[in-house]
Amino acid sequence: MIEVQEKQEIKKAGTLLSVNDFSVTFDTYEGRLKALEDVNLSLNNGESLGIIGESGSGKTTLATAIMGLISDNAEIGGNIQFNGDVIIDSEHFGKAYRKLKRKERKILSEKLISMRWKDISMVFQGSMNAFNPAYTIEKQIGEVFRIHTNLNDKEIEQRSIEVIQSAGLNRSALKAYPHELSGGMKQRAVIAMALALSPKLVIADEPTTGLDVITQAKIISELKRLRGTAINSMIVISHDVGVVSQLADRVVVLYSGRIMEIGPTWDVYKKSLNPYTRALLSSYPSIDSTKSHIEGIPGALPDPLSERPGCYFAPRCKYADNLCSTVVPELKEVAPGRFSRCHYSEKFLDGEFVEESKPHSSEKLGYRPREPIIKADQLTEYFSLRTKTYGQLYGKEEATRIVRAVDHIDMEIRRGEIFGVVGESGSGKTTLGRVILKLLEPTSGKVLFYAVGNKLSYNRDTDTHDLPEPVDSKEYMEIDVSGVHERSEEMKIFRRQTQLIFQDPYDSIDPKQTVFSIVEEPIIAHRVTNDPLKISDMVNEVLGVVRLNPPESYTDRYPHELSGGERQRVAAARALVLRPEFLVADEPISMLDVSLRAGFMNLILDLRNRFGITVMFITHDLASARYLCDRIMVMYLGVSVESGESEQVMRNPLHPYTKALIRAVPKPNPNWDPSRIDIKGEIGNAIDVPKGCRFFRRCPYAREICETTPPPRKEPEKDHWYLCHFTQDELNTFRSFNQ
Amino acid sequence: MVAENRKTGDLRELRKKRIQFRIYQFRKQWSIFYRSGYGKIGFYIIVIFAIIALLSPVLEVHHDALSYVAPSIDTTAPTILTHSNVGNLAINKDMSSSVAASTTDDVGSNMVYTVTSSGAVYGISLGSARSIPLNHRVNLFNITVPPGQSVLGIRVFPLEGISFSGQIQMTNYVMVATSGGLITVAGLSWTGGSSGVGSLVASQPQTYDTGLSLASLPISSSFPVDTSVIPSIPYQNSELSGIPGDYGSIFALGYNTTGTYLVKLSDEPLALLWSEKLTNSSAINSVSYLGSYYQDQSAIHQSLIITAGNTIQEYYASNGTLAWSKTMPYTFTGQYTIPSAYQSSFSSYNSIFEVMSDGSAYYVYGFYQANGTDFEVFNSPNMITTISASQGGSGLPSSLLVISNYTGYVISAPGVIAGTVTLSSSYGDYKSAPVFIPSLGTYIITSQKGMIYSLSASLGKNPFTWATYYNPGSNGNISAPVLLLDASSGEEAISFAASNGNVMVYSANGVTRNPMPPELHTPSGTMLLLGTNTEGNDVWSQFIASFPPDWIVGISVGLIGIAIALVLGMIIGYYRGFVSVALDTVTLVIYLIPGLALLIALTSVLSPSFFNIIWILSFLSWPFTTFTILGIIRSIKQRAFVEAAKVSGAGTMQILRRHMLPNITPLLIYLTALNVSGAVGGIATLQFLGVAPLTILTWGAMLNPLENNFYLAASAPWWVIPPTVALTLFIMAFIFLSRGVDEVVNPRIRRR
Repeated sequence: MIEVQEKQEIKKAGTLLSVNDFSVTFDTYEGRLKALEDVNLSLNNGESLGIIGESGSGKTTLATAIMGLISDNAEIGGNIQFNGDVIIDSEHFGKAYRKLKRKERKILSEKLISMRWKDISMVFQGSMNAFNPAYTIEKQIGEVFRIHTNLNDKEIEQRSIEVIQSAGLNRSALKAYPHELSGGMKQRAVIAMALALSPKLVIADEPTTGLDVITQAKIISELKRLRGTAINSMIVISHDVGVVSQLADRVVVLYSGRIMEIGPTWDVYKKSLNPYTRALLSSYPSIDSTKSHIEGIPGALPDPLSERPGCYFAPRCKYADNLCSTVVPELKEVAPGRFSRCHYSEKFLDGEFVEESKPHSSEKLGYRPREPIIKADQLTEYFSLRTKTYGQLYGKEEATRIVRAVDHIDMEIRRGEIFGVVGESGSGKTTLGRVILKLLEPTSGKVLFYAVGNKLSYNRDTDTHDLPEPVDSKEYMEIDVSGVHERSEEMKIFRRQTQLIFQDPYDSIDPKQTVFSIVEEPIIAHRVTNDPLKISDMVNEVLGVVRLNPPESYTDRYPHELSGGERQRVAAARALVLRPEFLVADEPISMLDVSLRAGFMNLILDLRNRFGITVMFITHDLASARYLCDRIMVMYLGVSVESGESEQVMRNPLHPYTKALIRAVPKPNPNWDPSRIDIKGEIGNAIDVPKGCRFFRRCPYAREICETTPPPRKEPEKDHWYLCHFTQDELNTFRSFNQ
Repeated sequence: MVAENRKTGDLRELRKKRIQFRIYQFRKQWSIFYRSGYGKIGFYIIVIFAIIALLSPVLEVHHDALSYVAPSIDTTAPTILTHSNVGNLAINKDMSSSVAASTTDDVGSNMVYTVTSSGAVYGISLGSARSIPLNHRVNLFNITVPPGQSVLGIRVFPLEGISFSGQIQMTNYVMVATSGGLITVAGLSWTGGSSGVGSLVASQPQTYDTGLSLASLPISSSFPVDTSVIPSIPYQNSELSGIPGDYGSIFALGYNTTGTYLVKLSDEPLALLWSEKLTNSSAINSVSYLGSYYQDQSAIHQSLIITAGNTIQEYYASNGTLAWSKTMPYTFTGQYTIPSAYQSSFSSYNSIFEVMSDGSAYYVYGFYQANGTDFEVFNSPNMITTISASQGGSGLPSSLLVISNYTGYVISAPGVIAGTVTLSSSYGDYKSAPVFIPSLGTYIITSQKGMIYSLSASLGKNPFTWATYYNPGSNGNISAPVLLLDASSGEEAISFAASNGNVMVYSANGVTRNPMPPELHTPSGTMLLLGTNTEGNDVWSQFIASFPPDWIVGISVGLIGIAIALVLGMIIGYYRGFVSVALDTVTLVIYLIPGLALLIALTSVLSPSFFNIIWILSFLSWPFTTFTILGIIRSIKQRAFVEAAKVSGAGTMQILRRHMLPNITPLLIYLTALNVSGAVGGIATLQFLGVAPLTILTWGAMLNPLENNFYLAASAPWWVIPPTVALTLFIMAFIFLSRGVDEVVNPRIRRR
């Protein structure tokens, strides 16, 4: 017994997990997919390691490999050792595993099972699906104990309560079914489950993805808190630099299955030694600083199925030369504790390569407020949860529950601006966009659209598809969008001059159509022309506009042959082919990889600057809203709580919700403290809304008046208003009082 | 103008590119489909089925497959009653006497006797009253065959009569002879006395050496040489019945260096009575005994007829003196026949029928026993291979059978041919003497290589009654048939020996063999590749002829069903409103009615014609398909790209055409394939149950008789298995095809 303890003592100081020359190749139908190549890692006891990478970089494969859960069709090389025990190596996996005798296999799998959860546990990606919806949380957490320990039912109950409380949840959450918990609570329950057996190592795979900003901040602070107590060592995997920077001591940057850089977190952030890390970090728009141009990374992630000589990043790297595209760089220790896979790492260390910041492109154009293009007047969209038939059969009026998705919103979007709509999920921003485009019939209120030109019908032969130049004065025709019939001439004009870009590029373009026929759709729908050559010219031109170059190489491709960024560009091309006046972009970048986001945002900026298209940019990401938008509207539970010029709103948020929202964005900054966000709970649903202020239940400054009376609109600055009973001074007083 | 040209050129270029792209896409998808094991198997099965369907007019042997019934020549055959293997049989050259059958005498009755080349004499039981079990073989005695000699054959005949409660009880004797002139005779007796006890033994085998080289197996006066005598009416020779211990005689024809001799032996003891040197000693080819028994003891009524060259002579059996001699213009070939009635009573017209030839033509002549008067009965330019007669009567026997050039002629009067039968020429010549079956009135003839025919002696109808083939092995022969009475059934049977060592006993009666197993060379000359069914239809032709109707039903039902389902699925899935709900409800109602019951009900209400059945099956196939399609349509409707199309200004039709249709096309192919297999299964079910008319030839119709008699599946696999397998494969192929399509469409299920 004493000996064992000594042994553990010795190990505690040393390496907990080591990944040695580890590589994974999946044998897929399309070919051999190199998911990981020569990964060398070590994790010391008590340390927290962050793994950053875009989708396809192999970070989840690495996490599952550490758990020993790699699927059968993989071929692996090297090994992973935990506490000196081999978890996975090439001699006991795949074909070799199948050759083992049954008994040996059993021993191996039993070893892995005992190791899983007891020694290594995992917070899985997508907490929504981590729980079985048919059982209570208690049963599912209890199951962990039942499988791995010999505790009796009472002890299990006791331990479950301890565990759930340590994750910051009330013990009543144990009795709940998964659907009764909010996203944040579910994530906490997942963390509680991972910590149930006090494992030596916790792997958090995208622990905050899919959560709202505020919830994300709370989970980060929870994990930070647990780092000191329940969690010994941790691996945090994320594509979000902010999240990793807050949770990790050291950071590993993965790109296409290769480690690009390893180093202490803040060193890497401040002065990265690798061009990819630098490019990645500069792809994030900053919430703190003023607008400066972000470049993103040109091109797309390499195809993992093809043979690629040299450095995988070379085709996208601005420093790349011949050497890079032919010789694979080694992962070198450039400075103590800092590894980088680049031929020119030293030059980064010496400061020879320095990023220079360019001015923001919209600065050049300048923001000129002009006449409105869209006006919403008391726009309201309610959804009834009960169907008509049901209501008639069992019809009690009060039983019909109403979702107030958009509740009496007044707004005005001006010609030529990028108008941001910001809010957490459930705030009604997407519904607003769809009501404005009349994809949903508004319950009440009006949408007015000011169309260019005053012709009711287009002449196919004489009308060109050329865009009208952005000129200041022109003849506009007011269309009451909510009042006209779908098949009317006005509606045709409205449809032709407005367009929508969807959030999910994988869903918004028809998988069965080529890029060409996707893009030509509006041309055909509006019968602009039926001359195939003309259509072909228009399609090629617009593909060039969205920078799918050369267009000929894209026209015959199918969506599944495109990357996410390319798909989103195709969706944009479809939206732009008829040169619309007004474009609603509904979270267009949220599904894209980080390196591609900046490129797409720059495309939107460029479109506005070149063609004067008005964009309604719907997003939950404040940083990108700040980067792109001229004006911002913040929505909360169907109501707009604050609106103003984006710089004003960001620098000087007026509404308590906006303040919390801005503060909750994780920043690569050691001083960022998510625990100091002044907000309670999570965004509810828009069914049982308070009579008074919508924000009442979460507001730390709420008073009695907030519960009963709807707040008035206060406009302390020009064009910058917020919805509250109190002035800024009053709020500040409340705040100091709270503290 | 130039610009215009450039434009049209570009346009052509653009279209060409489009077409090339389509081909490229198709090739790519095809390769995925082909690489999936399921798709490949399904595809090949379907191709094979399609080829068979297209070639069916060529492949089917009988084009009226539905009504064609295999001729009775192919389907009627005797049953094999018993058989026994005795090893090497002494089958002499003309196969005339390798087996012998006993009489009904209870001692040694209902036995078939045979002798092997080594001299072992066997009796094979046909199930005797004395309880020798059926097919039981008794080794009676062995003779010593001296070196250089061979066994000529075996004969069984009664030689002694024992009076027993008013009847004459017979005792059988067995005689075997060797080519060197050794004649062995043994009586058969039963030790133990009563039935059920004891065993059959050959008592007192006696051997006499004639010192002559025997030309043929000796004959007995007690048993006519003509083997067509029924054993149940034994002929005891009463020539010398007054002398105790001398009830019968044995006549042998042989030669030595001094000449040719006719020899008469007494049987008890076996001793020489007289020996007569013949005047015409050259080219003796037959000796026959012609005479009656106890009624008339006049010496002239028992005589021996000897033919040699172109002379025919009669000798008195009592003392061997010549009665008459006649020289004919033709040469005797050795074939003769004596109607059995002529052996039992004497009439002036008792005659023997002999075959003669002058090299260019063959003749059948009758010769009166009394004075040798001849008369021509039949002539033919072709060789007459054998001849037989029915029992006889006044004048000509009621009929004569002459086999010439593989044709059987039934002759009713001199020069009158009552019927002809063409015999198969593939199994050797018909040389051995036929047997006449008195109770059936049929002749049974065998060819050397195993073909056996039964021909009716009744005049005025097609003589053919049945035919069968016994395979004696390669280059094997079978012997002439002998007539015997089957003790167990009481029916006549025939027995013959084959050179593979088997002694076979067949019933004389032919029975229909339907369903008949496959036969490549049937007696009638057609092929029955898969045999026949109970009705005698050619299974192969029906099987092949079923391919096109099954394809037509499958494809048309598949397409009609999918067309209805596509339209309804789109309406119900895409639109909302009263029409949609109403159609949805109707579809649901039809879907919920039990399919088979509805199928049967509809089939019985509507006239079950081919097209009605197609409509009925289509009617049943669409609800399920509709639900599948509308589900997919509804889910596609939720997809953002449909909304994007709406934002782009696309109308409903454009959305349905551009977005819905391409996205459900693979599903349509999948469902069509399923529908096809369902339709083929459906019509098979209907016909199997007998609801749909069996005049539509499909695999289901072929299997219909099975509904009442599942035993057929075991007894006639050649009939049941092909349609079952075809049906299974056809349905499976389409399901596999749909699976392959699924792999093209659904990358997730693709596996390495």
